[in-house]
Order: sequence, then C-alpha cells, then structure tokens
Amino acid sequence: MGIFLVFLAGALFVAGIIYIMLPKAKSGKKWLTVINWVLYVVFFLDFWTGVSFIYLNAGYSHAKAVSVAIFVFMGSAVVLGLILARFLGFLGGKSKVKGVSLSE
Amino acid sequence: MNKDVKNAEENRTNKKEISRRSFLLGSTALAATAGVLAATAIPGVAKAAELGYKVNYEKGKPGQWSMLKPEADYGGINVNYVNNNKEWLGSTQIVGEISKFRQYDGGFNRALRNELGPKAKYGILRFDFRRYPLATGTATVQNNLVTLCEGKPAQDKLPIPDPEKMSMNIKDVAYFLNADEVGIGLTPEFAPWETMVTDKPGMIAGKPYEEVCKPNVVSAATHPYTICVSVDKHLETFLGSTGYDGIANSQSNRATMMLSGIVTSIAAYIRALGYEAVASHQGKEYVIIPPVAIASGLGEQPRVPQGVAHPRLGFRHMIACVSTNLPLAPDKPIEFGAKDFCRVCKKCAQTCPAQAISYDDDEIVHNGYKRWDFNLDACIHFRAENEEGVCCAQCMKVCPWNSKEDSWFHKAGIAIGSTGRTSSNLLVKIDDMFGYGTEVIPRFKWWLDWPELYKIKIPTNN
Repeated sequence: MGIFLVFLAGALFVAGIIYIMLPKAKSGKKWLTVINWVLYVVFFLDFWTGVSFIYLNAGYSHAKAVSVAIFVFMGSAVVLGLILARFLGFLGGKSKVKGVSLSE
Repeated sequence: MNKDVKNAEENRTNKKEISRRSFLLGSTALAATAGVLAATAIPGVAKAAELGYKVNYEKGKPGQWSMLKPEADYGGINVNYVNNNKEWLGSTQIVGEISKFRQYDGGFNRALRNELGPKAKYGILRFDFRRYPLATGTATVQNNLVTLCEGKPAQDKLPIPDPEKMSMNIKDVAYFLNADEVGIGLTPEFAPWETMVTDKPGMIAGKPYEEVCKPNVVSAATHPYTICVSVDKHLETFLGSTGYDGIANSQSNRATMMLSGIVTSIAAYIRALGYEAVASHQGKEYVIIPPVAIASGLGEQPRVPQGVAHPRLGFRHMIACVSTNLPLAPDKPIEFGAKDFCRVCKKCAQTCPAQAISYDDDEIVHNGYKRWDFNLDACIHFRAENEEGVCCAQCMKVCPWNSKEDSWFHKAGIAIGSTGRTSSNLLVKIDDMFGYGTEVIPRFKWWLDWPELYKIKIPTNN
C-alpha cells in the first residue's frame, strides 16, 4: 500500500506539472505563474504529508491523531486546492467560449 | 553567561579539550595498560602464551560503533558526547560526594521488610506469584539465572584484539543476542551497591542487616568497565495498556527475561576469555543501573530518576549490565536535550497515579548530585498496592519520547524537541493535540485479565 501511495503521489505530481504547463492554464502574467507554482508545491507537500501521516497513524490505530490530521492537513489542502483551482481558471472564471444564440 | 557557569559548561561538554576520537584513543591506551597489568597479575597467562593461542579478526574503521551496526542508532538526533568526571556524569551534575547505597535500603526491600505496611509487602511478595500468571512465567528465567551472574574466569587467558575492536565485538555479541541497544562505560565509583542482600527470605523474616547482607564483589577498582544492554519494553503493549493494568509487571519481566539471558551469556563469554565478569539484572543487581547506563552512553536521567532516556527509545526500556576488567574502549556519556525537554513537559507528573513525580522546573540536590525530586515511597506504595493491575508503568507510557512507533514524523518531532525549551514546548503541545501517550488502543490489548487476582491478600496472622 505504501509503495502504491508513493507511486500515486509521483504520478499525480507529474500530472499536475503537465496541467499547469498547458496553454489553457497559462495566465500570461508572470506573478500569477509564480504564485501558481508555489501554491502547487505547497499544496502537494501539504496533501501528501497528510496522506503519509494519516496512513502511518491509522496503521497503529491512533484515532485522535488520524482525525486531527484529517482536519489539519486535509482541511488546509482543500483550501489551498480551491485557491489554486481559482487561479488556474477551474473555478469562478469567465467562460472563454462565448455563448451562441440558437435562435439566430 | 557568568564565568562559573561558563567553566561548568566547558567542564561538562569538554568541547575545547577532547574530541570523541582522542578520548577513545586515550581510553584505549589506558585500557590496554590496565589489560596488560591485569594479564600479568593473573596466574595462567604465561601458560596461555605457551599454548600458542592466536586470534584472527578484521579491524573495523576507526570510531566504528560495531560491525553489525557501524553507526550508533540515536534515532536521527544530534547527540553531544559529554563527560564522566567528578563534576558531571553525562548531563547529571555532581555537586558533592555521592555516598554508596546499601541494597538493603532500596524501596522494594524496605517494603518487603514491612516498613511500608502489610499491603505493600504482600503486594510485592506476590508480584511474580499468581497475582498475574504471565508475570510468574516471565520472571522464571531471571529468577533461575541468578546463580549464573558470577563465576571464575578461565585460567588461561585467550589473546584478544585491541580494546577498541574488543568493544565492537562485545557490542556485536549483544546485538547478536537480540539486544536493542548496548554501550560500554567506565564504572562510576558510586554505582556498585555498598552491600548486597544475600538472604532475601531471611530479610523478609526479620533477620538483622548483618546476617542478610554481604559486601559487594563488584567495585570500580576490580571491574572498571560496565557493558550496559537495553531491551525495549514493547510499544504495542504500552499502546493497549492503561499503564498500570495486569500486563505492567510482565512488561518489565519480559525485558528482564531477555536481558538476563544476554548479560549472563556475555559475562560467561568474557570469563571464557579469561577475564573477570559479573552479570547484573533485575534478578540480582550488583550495581545501580542509571549511573552505569549514563556512563555507558545509553542516555540521560529524565524527570523519573529510575529511568534512563535514550534518544531513540526514550526510557521505555530495561537495562542490565556486565561489570568486567576485560580491556575495553569505553563510550562517552551523551546529551541530546532530554533535561530541557523534561523541564517543560511534565506529562509523567500530571498523569502519575501516585503523584510521585515532581512538577518542579528545577532539579534538587539529592545525595550529592542533581535530579528532579521524586517521592519514592509514594511510587512504591502505588506499584505494590495497585489493585487495578500489577505494578505500574504509566510514566513510561505517556512520555512523548517513548510512546511512538518508528516513523518520519516522530523522528522529526523528537529532533525538533531536542533543540531547546521553546521547541520542547511546541512538541509537547503537538503531542497532546494528537492524543499520543494517554490513549488506550483496544486492538493491542492482547493479554488476559483476572481482576480478582489483582486484589492483595494479607494473611490474617500478619
């Protein structure tokens, strides 16, 4: 299981890098690109540190440690993920395809 | 930092004088001289040379810990090597003359003589006899190995490697025999008991001190080196235990069962090489364990003074030792911030069911050295009279240094906690936040319970 999680972490890390480098995720602004990369690395470390912490503590049935870690690590990962998604244009951004009137 | 404090600090850490390497070399030369003197003083050595014995071995790298473990395993913590001199034993400050103790005056022996009341006496008398059947089982080995602690060395001394290599060999023997940790130290003068109880039944029956005790055969002069061996008291069992239920005494007995076999074997090995060796374990102790363990580099004295906190194991372990005149290169005592950590943590004091552990920030002077205050009678009363189980190990269970499995975040936590007061405070808060130490995990509660057996039965004619 541990090996699988390491493999999964690596695969998702590469997938995230590829996505951020896609033309549709590029903002054209340098400062935003820097923030995106920093947020991505912080999000990734936070999320996978949490996964590792929860996995190891669950193995020893440290119930409180697992629940607190879910709240702390996963909670912060969700917040970071939402901010990152907003910056990358997943959430709340204006649609790039303009609506087409079907009545015309 | 004023001048006196600075001098004391330099004396303790000895940073400006001796490196670990030069200390080892110096000790090696000293030990080799002692070995030659010892060898020429004992009859039979010439005969061994005439027989033409040879020893074949490969030298390790300079400063290598052992062949099986090239580096000492301190759990990733940076450890400072400190002094064993008249002012410091590791991180323990010596401020006066430390008088030697009589084994007769030990807490459990006083309880056995009814000085702490009949409940304590009969609680201890039945520790290993039917108050918990597994404790009876695990105590069997140590009790039956008592007669093998001492012995006569072989008449013809075998040739042995230089002290540094011989020390590596002794450490490898200990690891081979399943020790969790091992260290070699110079025997502090005050560590061997002044006299030993040789007639326990007589002592319990009320015979006077002179009739039940004899002078100790071990002293720093006759046995200048101590080999200390430690065995973990089993993390999973602590996780499943309340800290003072039925299994508590069996945890000590289990570690001692292994330790008594290890130290008895090492002592017999050394005697077979032609040198003096006496094994000490819970069944029969010739020395007081904490000072020799500190001298052997196994850790620092924590808030609970009977323990020795190891960087990796905390004080969740038992220690036994071999006192010998085999020429060895002793390790230096270590310091890794345990005192600073204990100063702020106090988790053991807060959770001690007997409230025997001090909440004080500062240490007190006790018998010529500094340690945290400790109410030994309260501790013995609770351990002997506990009817929710047998004995107690609550302080070991809750200690943030002790209560962890091997993982990257616990290593990181301990590395952070060993760096000073602020980080120690942070580590304690995180430890509490995650609920470590005080939790009882049902799936690790593997042992059986007989609650009626825990009740202490005092004979009516007492």
